[in-house]
Amino acid sequence: MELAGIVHILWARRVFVALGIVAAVAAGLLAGRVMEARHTVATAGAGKASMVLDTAHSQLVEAAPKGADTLPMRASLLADTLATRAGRSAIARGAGIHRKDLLVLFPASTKEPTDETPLVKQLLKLTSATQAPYMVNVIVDDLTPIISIEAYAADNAHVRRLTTATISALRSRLSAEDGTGSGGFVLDTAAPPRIEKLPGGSHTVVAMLGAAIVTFAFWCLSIVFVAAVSRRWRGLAQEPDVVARRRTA
Amino acid sequence: MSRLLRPSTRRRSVLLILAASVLIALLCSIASVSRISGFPPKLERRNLQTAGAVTHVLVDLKHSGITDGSAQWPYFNRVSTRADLLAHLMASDPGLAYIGRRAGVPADQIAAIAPIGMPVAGALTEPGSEAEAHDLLLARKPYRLEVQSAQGSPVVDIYAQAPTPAEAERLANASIAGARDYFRAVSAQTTLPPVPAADPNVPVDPYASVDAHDPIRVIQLGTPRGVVLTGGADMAVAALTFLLAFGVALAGLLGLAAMRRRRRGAAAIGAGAEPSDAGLTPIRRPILTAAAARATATLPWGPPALAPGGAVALRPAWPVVARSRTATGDGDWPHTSRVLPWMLAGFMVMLWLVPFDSIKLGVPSPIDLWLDRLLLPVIVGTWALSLLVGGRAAPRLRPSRIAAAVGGFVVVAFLSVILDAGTLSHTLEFDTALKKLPLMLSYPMLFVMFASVVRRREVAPFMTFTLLLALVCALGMIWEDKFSQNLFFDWSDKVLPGVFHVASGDAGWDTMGRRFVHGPTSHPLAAAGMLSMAFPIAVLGVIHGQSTRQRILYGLAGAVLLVGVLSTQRKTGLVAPVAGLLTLAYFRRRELLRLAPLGVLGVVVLLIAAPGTAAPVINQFKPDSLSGADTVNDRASDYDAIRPDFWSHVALGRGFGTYDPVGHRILDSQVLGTLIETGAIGLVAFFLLGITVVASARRTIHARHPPWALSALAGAAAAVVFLVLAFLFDSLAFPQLPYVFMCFAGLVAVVVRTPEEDLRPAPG
Repeated sequence: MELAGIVHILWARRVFVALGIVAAVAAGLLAGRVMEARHTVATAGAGKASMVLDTAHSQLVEAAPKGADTLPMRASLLADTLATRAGRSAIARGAGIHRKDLLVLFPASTKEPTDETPLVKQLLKLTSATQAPYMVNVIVDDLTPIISIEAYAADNAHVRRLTTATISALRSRLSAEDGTGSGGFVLDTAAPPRIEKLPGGSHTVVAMLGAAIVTFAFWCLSIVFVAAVSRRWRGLAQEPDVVARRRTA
Repeated sequence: MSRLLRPSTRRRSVLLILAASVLIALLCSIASVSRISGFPPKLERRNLQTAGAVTHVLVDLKHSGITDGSAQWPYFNRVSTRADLLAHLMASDPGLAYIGRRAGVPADQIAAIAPIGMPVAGALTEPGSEAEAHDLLLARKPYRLEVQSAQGSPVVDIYAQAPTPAEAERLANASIAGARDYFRAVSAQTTLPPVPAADPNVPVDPYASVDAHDPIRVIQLGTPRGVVLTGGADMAVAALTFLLAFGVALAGLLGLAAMRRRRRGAAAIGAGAEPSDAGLTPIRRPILTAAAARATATLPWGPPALAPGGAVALRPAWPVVARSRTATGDGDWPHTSRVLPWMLAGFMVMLWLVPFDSIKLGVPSPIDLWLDRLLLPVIVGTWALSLLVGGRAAPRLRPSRIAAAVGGFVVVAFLSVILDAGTLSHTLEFDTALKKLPLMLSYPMLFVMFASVVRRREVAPFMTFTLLLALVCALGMIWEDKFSQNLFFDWSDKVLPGVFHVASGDAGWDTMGRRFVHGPTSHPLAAAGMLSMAFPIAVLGVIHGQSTRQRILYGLAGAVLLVGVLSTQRKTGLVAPVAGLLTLAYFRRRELLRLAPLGVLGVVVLLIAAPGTAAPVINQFKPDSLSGADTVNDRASDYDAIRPDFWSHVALGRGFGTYDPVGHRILDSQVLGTLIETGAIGLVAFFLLGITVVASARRTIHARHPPWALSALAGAAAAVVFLVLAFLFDSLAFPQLPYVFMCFAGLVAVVVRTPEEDLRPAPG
């Protein structure tokens, strides 16, 4: 019943509704162009590699080598040391970039905080969105001594260099963090450096459809709104003016 | 076009009101983000900006053992313990003195906290009144350091807050440099005993001894990057203020104009102008007995209305009103082609049978898209369009005391946030309030829709529909209690498409050994509260049923509801229905007394038929159970713990929606929560929500006109239950309860209005 009134208004102004269809198609095409442009910019891939921290006598061969139970903890701390000044300098030097342009995300910076206060929540939300020209994300879970490396840069050549430099820096930290130089651990390659295409996915059609539908809906809403307001406005003039009537009387 | 622009008195007044409202709103919004000084007169922009930076430190010994094979768990435990110690020392007064010196900030301007790093039971970390008072004092300081350590990890996280990003970065860096200074100073004052000569036969543990000159290595990880934490806060405050001031000013001015028009109209009729319907003094609340109503039903015209000046006019009697309504072709719900009543009925089905607060659309968005947040905008959109278009079927907005109370609560909630925006922005709680305010608006919106869409003759069918839905809900809960299967969650998961994520409903027993029966809600308390609000409808059906069969059916429905409420095994399950019954007893003493023997018999039958349902709840009220219950003691201790918060924001509280149980106490009382968030004024506004429903319904209840008095009484009882629930737990935390209450409030607002108000043509 109520919808009939709305449909009636739209039918009475069908020329404007038809114009809305044109506007919706235009908005859809525009959204498609924007999406295509964005997709083209983000074609650079991500450099990926995995390293595994192992005991000098591999735990895969020896039943209970010394220090095997602490391997996940050591792997996590070793990955953390990539974010020290020395670690970042090593990566930047190897990749041939400026240290200030490099952002290293390390396990301690991405773990759950102890106490989620408003300050902590807000800071984690904002800093996780921080971007830099060159980014390295070092990931370690708490269960295995595998260190995964993800490197991001503007072009594939830089991605490759950044990935290799991170692996080299990690190897150099291995000996640097061995306070007594015992050489008890080794870093093996679990997955060699490779460049993977970013899963950009083509959401162009969805974006085009969404933009067209939203535009058409807002167009129709505007027509109904303007029509209703103008009708009310006319109605105001037709309402009986009691004061004027009293004066006449 | 010329017709559109033709001036008229009404157009002029509408334009004036709009312009004045915009002007008032603009002035208020400018004032909300400015500081006005008197001598010399100056308008300064208030600075609501605050910034933050995060950094991390790795605590290690001089000889690192991270990749040294000889370093085992004792080494990692040792560095982890030192990291925890470092975190707490950095937040101590001596540590802050060094940090302040490095940052170039007086130490007493830095608030530093270091929470306990090990996991402990939540109840042990809940702050008492002293801790709350301390937190309030710290919140006023312009600089803040939060130093967190985690059990078993040698990494310490440092979160710094300062007025600008650069200062936040400096404070984060200074905290590390200051900590190093502090340790150096301590080691300079310490003389360690000489290390005994090493036994050549015992292997040397390089991590056993401590180097006095370099006891701990504090290694910074990453560089802190300062970020603005409250970007756009001033714009948000200004926008909120503008919206509130515009709404209040517009409503106030329109109300004044309407009053003025009515007065002038009355004066015009008094001066001898032609009598018209517009000049009649409406009977605001007709008091008719059932007998009188029957008598009027035979008349083609209603009782005469006395106009000012002595004029007598006849208005159509109510049956004629009804005929005219039927003649319109749109009919009354459920026999109507109007979309909005059906949409509201659909929303009610969702409220009672679907766990909507556990169903989320799996699409990334700034807010969580729970099911009600998807459906309500569609209904509100249709309602708004229908209101704009006008016509016979359009919703009719009418002022009422209940609407004023609902509006008052909304205004107080907005004011509590706007007036405390400076502090909230500094404590980073403004964003939370900004998210919760629009969500809170969904409850008043539901009230407005019920009050404007539902017609008076539709209230009774809507009440019956509510009882039916509550009955289905109760049956589902009884099934859940007996067979440990929650049909509401299971079926929602099966029926809804994959894009919706249905959270698994909690099951099992709580710490007090009570089974977790929660029906379509996320907590048994919410389920018990919902059913308790619908319970009075069944009792009223028994009292006023027109036939024995009808009374038996209502009685059975009441019994099922009661068993459903008791199956939650909560004390609330007994207290809330009793509150509803007491309300009915207040208004219908004789009828309830006549029913008393039947009620006692029913309770006895219930105890015999379902002993496992009622006994556990009754047992919880034994004196020894009450004094020993954690839930009771914890609730009692809340009253003392909130004192500092209350006394520091007496009038309007700390801001609606800003009390986060994380870091504070979990308050199991809506009254306390409202008192903290919206102050004493907010609490009064909250109570007025229920009180106005009862007060508005009183006359209609006393009139005893069968369909309307019963609906008004059922609504009043539901309102009392809603208020009682607010004392028992944080009732607004479960959206079902405010939604159901708003449905009842909307229906009462409709049923207490005069029939001629229904007849008044809709504008447009």
